[in-house]
Amino acid sequence: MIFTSFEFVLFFAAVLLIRSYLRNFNVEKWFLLIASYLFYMSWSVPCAFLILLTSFVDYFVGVGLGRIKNQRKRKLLLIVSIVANLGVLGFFKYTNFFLGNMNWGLTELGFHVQPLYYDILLPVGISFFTFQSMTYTIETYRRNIPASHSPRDFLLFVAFFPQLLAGPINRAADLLPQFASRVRATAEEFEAGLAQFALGAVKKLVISDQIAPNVDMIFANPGDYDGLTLLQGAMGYALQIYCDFSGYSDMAIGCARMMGFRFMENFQMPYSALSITEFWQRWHISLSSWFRDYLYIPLGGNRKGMERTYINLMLTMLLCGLWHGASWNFVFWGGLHGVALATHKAWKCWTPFVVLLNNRPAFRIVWSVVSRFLTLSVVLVGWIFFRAQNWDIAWLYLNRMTTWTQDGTQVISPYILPALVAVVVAHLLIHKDSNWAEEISQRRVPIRIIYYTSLILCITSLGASDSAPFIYFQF
Amino acid sequence: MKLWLKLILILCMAMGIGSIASHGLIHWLGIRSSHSGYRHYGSEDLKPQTILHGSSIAWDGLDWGQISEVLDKAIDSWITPGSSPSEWEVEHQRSPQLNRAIIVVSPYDMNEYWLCDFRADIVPLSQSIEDMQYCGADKQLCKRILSQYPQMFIRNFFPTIGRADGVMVGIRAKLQELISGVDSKEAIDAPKLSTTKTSEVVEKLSDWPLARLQRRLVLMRTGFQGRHWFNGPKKVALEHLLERAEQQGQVVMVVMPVSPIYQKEFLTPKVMQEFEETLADIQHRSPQTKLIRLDYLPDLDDDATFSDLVHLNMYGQRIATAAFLTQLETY
Repeated sequence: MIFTSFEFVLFFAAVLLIRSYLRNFNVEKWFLLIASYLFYMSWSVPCAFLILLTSFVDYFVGVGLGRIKNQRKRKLLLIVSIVANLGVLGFFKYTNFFLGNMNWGLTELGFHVQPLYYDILLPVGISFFTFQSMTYTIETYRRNIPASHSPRDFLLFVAFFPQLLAGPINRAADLLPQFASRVRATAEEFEAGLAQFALGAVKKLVISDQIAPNVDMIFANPGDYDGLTLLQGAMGYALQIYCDFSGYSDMAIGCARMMGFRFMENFQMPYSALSITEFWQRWHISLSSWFRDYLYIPLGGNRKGMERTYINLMLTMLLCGLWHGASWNFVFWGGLHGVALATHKAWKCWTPFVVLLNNRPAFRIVWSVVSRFLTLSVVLVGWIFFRAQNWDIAWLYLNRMTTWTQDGTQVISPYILPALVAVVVAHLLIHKDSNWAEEISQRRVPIRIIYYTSLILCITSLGASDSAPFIYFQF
Repeated sequence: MKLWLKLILILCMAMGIGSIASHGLIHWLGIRSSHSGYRHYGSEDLKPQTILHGSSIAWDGLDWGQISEVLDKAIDSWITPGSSPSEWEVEHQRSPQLNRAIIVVSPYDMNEYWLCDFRADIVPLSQSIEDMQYCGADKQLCKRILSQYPQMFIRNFFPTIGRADGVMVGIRAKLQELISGVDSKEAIDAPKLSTTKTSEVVEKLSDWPLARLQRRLVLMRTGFQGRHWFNGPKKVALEHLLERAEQQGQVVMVVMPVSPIYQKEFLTPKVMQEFEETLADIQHRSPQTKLIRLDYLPDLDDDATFSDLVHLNMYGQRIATAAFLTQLETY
């Protein structure tokens, strides 16, 4: 059951309707919990038990952290939680990656070993719910939040259906208190949620799903296409993954908002970023801030000198890459962003030079164009490694694209180009820090009618009829 | 309460305007939104005795006017673009008095993953469920088939829903018309929904630029999710159709070819083996049915005889019609 399916619309309508009739707050929370597990079970029944198991481990660790005063014992409890969560994640996601690499290493050393491979089903959303659950134990350990004494509330925090499959990775400090008192959406909140949900559906159905087959075609055989087509494919994928994932996040946030809950924003027009650092402040915000708060800063962040800062950045981004998938392509993608972030940090030392020239308007315009171009170039190259099936294909793609090869078929996709134009126009018209959906209920009635009519018309006339699962479900 | 009421009114107005715009778009772009059409081949004086069941592959692939003339029999046909045995089985019940049935199939329209846009309009939900249960169709296919029914209902308000390819292609064609003032064939890259007279189609697949071919392959692959399967509801429907038609009279089943490019791209030896096994099974269950294999004709194993990936052009049609009449005579 995905957000863009007819079943989900029915499911969500039923949840809203039944919830509005429930008078007892405890019954309401039980109802939301059961609905969340039913939602997950529409994907996989056995994996629901995995969420239950990891949630209970973290719940009891949290209870322990709340009671125990001894710092060593508390640390031990935290380690239990981290090992349990990362252990589950590692087993399901990285076992075959580890075995494959071990086999390759042994073969390279001259040992002849039987290749091992286990057919392990990857539970959908595992990277998200384990990370979300860990925010609770870490924050409880740091005494930033009190331990939850309601197993039901904690289970609901981990499994709440709008965010269960692909985030946003909400912080325990933000979401858990929302289950403490009864919340109901006002008309304005409901409208903001609806507007965001509809906007997400347009991104997914009209842009991402429509350009996906064309992008797949180009990435399947990059050796067959010329440089222009390959550039188009890379830009198409940049658009596809953005619209797919930010569309999903919009729908998740919108669903929660319609019920009166608030999730953290996950995307804020990342392709408008003027630097790679700003890009990561706008792209998958819930994950990048997770890595910042629970890995980069504990490693020392930028407090231990420049060299250590670069190392911390690299390490954080390499692990961020690995989080996305068990493949060296993802690790390389993370490493590339790590290098770019470190380079940008080093460049910022030259700031006085830029500030001096920044007073001139002409320079500011040129500088903004150059900055955007450089940022997007790094992001685009990164996406090639992210999307390509393997290392060789990624290099072949990059090589043919950057040398602007003329040898190969030139395909001008009738889907990618209009989508690119639409997104560029949207980026030019909308301020990068504004939240259109949030502001919609404050606008005048004709504007609201035009907004909803446009979304309805886009979805019903240009939306793909068979929606593919969201890209980030595989992570 | 006032704010809620205001929001509901705004949404209703947006839905209303959206619905009008959707109807307008369908009309402006000329996208076919009704399933039923009727075609009569042969002289108007002749009382129809033969019914033809087939998709656009049948209408384009054979010259039914000529066939009707040679046989001296009028031929009736219900026209549903992209149709398959599931729809033909229901349509057949509309013509109980006809005593000969010609059924035209191909690996393209027998593919269970290729769904007719009008399936839900024609096949009752109960029958779809029954067929899916009988053949044990997989969850994904069941979901796709079942989702067509609510879509059919929503199409009353938004007829463009599920027809994004048609809308995109239509808008492109209109834009090209506006810019260059000429109707561009290159723009039409979506699977056909039109029912143009084929005897006039001279376009050759072999002349297509590679880029256009790639785009069409992508569309097609998306349409049936890159999969072929022949042992599902369509096969069940074909068996029922043959059984009923055999009780009424003579039945001829024609297997049409698809282009060599299509074969190379989608019909792996395993897929072909499954298709042959399906045909053999059907023939075993309906021994009275005469089978004509035009897909075996070596002359049609040439992209120059096709107007696109699956439809024969005028040259292919001539070859196929002559071969069909010759083979029909031998029975």
